[in-house]
Amino acid sequence: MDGERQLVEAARRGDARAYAALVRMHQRSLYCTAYSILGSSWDANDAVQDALLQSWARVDTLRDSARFKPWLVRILVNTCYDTLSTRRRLVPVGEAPLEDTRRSQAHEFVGTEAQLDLFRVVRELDDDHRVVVALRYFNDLKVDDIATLLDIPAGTVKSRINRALARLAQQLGRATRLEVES
Amino acid sequence: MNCHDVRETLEGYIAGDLADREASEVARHLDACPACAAAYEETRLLVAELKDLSGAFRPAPLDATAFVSPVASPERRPRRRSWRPAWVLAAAVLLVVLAGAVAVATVPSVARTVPLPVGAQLNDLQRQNELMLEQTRAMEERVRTLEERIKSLTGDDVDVVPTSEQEIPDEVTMAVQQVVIQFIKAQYAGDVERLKELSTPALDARIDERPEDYLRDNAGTVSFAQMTDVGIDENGLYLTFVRLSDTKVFSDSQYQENFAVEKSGDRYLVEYMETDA
Repeated sequence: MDGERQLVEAARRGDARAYAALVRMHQRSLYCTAYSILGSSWDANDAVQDALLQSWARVDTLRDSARFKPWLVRILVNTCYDTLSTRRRLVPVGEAPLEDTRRSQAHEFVGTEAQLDLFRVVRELDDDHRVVVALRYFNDLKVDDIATLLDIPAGTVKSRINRALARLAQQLGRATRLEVES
Repeated sequence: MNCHDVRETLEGYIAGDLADREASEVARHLDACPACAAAYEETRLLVAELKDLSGAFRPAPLDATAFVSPVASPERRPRRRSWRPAWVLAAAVLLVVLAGAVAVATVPSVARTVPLPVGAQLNDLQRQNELMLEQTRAMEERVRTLEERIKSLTGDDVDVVPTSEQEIPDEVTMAVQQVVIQFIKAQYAGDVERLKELSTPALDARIDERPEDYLRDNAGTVSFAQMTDVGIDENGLYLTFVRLSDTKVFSDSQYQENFAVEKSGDRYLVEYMETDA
């Protein structure tokens, strides 16, 4: 963490090499977040690129270098939402299938079959639950940070996380014991 | 704490978010309740799997995800230069490139709006290379045709200088993009002093001469739509185009600023900026 803070400090002073190192540290989690929100690897790639460009342009305005990750993730999520709203303005000519996670992608999939299944069920969550999963687990954000970022109460974040986990376990065919039968 | 309370706090317990007292209450309950202990184990496993998930994706490296590279740059003339025709040409080429939607993905030396998949098989790459070469040739032909058309339109002698094939390191790309972004921010802040700080002495003089060409409506907020990859011309000038919109004048459309950036000592300074439709 200290290493990251030093890099952020250097990037704030305009050190491009330090910023490049930060990009390398966070690119995967940002990409996975954007991909889970947008469902298209190419759009995800563009969103990450845009967000990184924007954050590079504004990193000198970041007040607390310890807050770099939540700040960066917020830029990414806003970029993804912009992409979604642009997409809504386009006239759909048919239902786009969820991309096959292995071929003709903006990434190389290097995980296991089980990880592919897990990502699929994450993608099948509704928007509200999917985004909290991405923020909490792909980016390691605190509940309070997620609440601020999404502008919802912390209690709502917690209940969405619990519901999302229960749904994921259910979809994966595992026992769901997060919720107690009344 | 009953089972219901414990299940609701399990996630926070696993994340280490609970206060000490609450955490020890949960721990005591888990020791005594096999059903909750099983739920804890399942949740812990699922959370660990989710946390590992982003490692399963190896995204394309960012230097492979260029937007559009400028293909033409004006010849550097000793005194007053007429850059316009060449920038127009470049913009026209860009339009052609954007129109050829299929070609866009596979013509890296001219324009890349879509990154190439990394990790593709060597055979695929070889095939793609051949395709690109073919399309690059076709594109060169189109550039030549356009060049002639523009010559006949403007009656000007257009010098077209292809940007160098030379690889530009990430650090340089980012430094150039950063100075350009800072320049645009200063334009919107109405900050002439800052603009001049970011400019070469030659541009300083032009800013003093016609500040209105460089300042933007400072009540608006700018947003960056797209920036091209940085190209380098034969004089070592870095070229990039930026598509922009803002909340005032260009709220429904975008406009473009064309930049030439010069390395001066260890700094990068804007040598030329032109606004384009």
